Amino acid sequence: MQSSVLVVGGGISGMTAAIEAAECGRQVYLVEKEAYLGGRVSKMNKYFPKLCPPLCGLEINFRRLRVNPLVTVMTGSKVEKVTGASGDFTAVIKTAPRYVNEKCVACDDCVKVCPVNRPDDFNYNMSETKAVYLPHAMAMPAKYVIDMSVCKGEACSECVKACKYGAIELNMEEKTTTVKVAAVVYATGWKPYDAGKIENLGYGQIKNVINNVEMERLSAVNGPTGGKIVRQDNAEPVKKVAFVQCAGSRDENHLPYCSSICCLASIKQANYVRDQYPESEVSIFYIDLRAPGKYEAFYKKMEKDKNVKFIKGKVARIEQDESGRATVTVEDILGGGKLKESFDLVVLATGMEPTMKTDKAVDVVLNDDGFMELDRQTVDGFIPAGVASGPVDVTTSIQNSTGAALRAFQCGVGKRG
Amino acid sequence: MDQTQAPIIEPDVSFARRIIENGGDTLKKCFQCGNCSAVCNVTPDNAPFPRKEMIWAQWGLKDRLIGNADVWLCHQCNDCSAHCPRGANPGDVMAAIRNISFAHFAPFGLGALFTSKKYLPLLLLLPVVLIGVAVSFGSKQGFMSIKPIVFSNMMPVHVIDLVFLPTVGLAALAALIGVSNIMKSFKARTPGVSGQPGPMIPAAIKTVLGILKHEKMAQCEANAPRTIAHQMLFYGFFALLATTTLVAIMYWINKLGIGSVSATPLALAHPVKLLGNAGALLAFIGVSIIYKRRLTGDPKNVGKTGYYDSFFGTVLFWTITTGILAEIFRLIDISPAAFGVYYIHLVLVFTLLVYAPYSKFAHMLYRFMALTYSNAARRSKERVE
Repeated sequence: MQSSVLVVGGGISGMTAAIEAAECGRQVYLVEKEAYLGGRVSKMNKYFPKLCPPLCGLEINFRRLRVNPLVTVMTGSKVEKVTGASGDFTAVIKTAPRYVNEKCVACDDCVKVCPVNRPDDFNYNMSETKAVYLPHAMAMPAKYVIDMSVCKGEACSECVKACKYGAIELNMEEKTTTVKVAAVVYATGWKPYDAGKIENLGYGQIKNVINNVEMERLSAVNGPTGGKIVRQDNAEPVKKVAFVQCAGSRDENHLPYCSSICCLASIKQANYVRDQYPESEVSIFYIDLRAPGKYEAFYKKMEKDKNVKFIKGKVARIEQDESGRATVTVEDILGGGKLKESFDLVVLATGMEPTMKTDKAVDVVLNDDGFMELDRQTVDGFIPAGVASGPVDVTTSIQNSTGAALRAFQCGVGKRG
Repeated sequence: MDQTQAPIIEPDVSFARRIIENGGDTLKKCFQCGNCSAVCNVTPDNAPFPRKEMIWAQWGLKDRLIGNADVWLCHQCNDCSAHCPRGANPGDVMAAIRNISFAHFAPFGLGALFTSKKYLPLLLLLPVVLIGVAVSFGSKQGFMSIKPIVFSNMMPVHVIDLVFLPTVGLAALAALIGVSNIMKSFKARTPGVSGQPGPMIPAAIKTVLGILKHEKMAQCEANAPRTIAHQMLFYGFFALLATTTLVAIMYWINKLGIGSVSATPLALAHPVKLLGNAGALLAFIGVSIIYKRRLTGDPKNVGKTGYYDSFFGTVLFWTITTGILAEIFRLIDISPAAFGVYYIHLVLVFTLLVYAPYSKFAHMLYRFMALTYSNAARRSKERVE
């Protein structure tokens, strides 16, 4: 019988499950496919409802990880194969070469000499980095990484020459690790629904139509505009901003379920706009506003702002007008008429699509929406954490990830359903 | 709003059920997001449809639905259904309400006969017998073997008039009553209208011009291929109607000795014959496209096909087809086939025209009235603040 735990995914949920398990004395392997920990949360500007930056929360967890010798963090890694049964699994993990070793001190000398640019996926491709880059300012581990798909390799070697610490290894190779564990926690998270699939909303065609995760980067000080919320066609400040709720959610042609966080995310982002531009006007178009429990106060507070309009009606069409602004067509249900209104920026509140749906891990049972079923977790030894079992907010993710650690302990110690 | 002034809503579950039975079975899936009204290209901006009709239908609010002109301003583009996030298909629900309206507004208590196929044999029996009797009494002795084939040897023009003039006259009366009923309801029940409607004649002219261009239907997206087909059918049908009228006029000119003009069968190069054949061809192509789309198209785009659709569509398709076949058999000189098909053609023409006020054919009248009323009442595109 094993007692170790494998955690797949190093976002806020995976980190939580890993730390909780390790702090209870278990050996933990934390596997993250990106070169850094923190996942989606690290890309957020602020949390709702407190409007504090997520990085301070992440920092505490980074510290807990760093001081705990029981956690083996494997970034740039993917679980290739899991065999065995609950209580006794063998997992094969492949770690992609980072091309930068442990000697890196993040001095940035390599970046200064690198001749190649690449789109910065951390900023949803709204900016660029060099081929050698630090994933983001607060990246953990704070080591650089090279994107070999664009790097010119040894023919160039400018970074190798510039590095005073001998940290760059352009010939680094993929590594395979095999581990024995009792349970696998899947904290595989989500990705924003591809808004380009929604007909008539112009995402990808109209510059001033963006999605809500892009809005987070656009508002963040470490984002592509240094935190200035601007029009995407001419970088002018925004005066009128619209939020389009249920962009692809609660829609049988797209995501049939409610993603549960988009209403609050839009109210939060309306705060960003109102804080930055006191004269700005915000319209939030919704089917039903969902601000459950303690979040109602957050919504009620926003409702008092006279420059924020909540308009009941699902936006059906977005077109670009002559001035490049985006015009939305919607029925103002409570107002009693069809509206056509132009905005400097339209934010589509796209929902969460489980990563598992398209990137399915071995032998995991998923429901029709691509989320993991909860009822077989201890029997199977595959335990969902965070958004893997359903769309939830960060607070709930942290809570259910702590629960996932306990579930992992139960695997192999006795057979229960 | 003061509690004492709040409108009293009287839900009628049985009416909601009737809508469901008449093709609106997706009704309950609607969650009132308003996507349908927003994608609709033909709705007025003020109190737009069909979102409001969907909730009225869920509550069974018969009084707000039957005789609401908006139900007829809808052209079943099905953009609403194609984009509906819940599969609630507002296009089908609106069509279901129109189906119920056909039976509701047609007079003499005959509406029920057209709601179900169980009455179909009865409906067909009338023209089969009527025209059969007319042929057996009116036809020339041995008409089948007289060459060349002349249809009036089987059914002389005065016999046709004897059968059709009174029955079509009754149908016209029924249509007139239906139209007057629905017009009263439009005035009482159409939302988004304030004050008295303006003059009807200019509004009607505007409507006619719009229909000639198929102005509204041309704005459909999901059901776009239907527009050109409907236009062909529309112009083809009126060309055939004009042909029939001209032929009748020509007959009576000869008969009454007013003058001497060509008698039927007309030569193929005769202008009236050209008009008739062109109309038949146009109508045939149009009705065939519509018929095929109804049978094979995605129901989300073309709409659900219920009894009203199939009755009207099938009768129309075969009326046109038998008309063309009868002419072909006559020209290639096959007597039994030509007369047999001509007989079926007459039965179908009777079914089409005499039952028009009760069948989906009445959409021509009711939608025309709704558009005219809407024009007169300035059911505007402007939003009322």
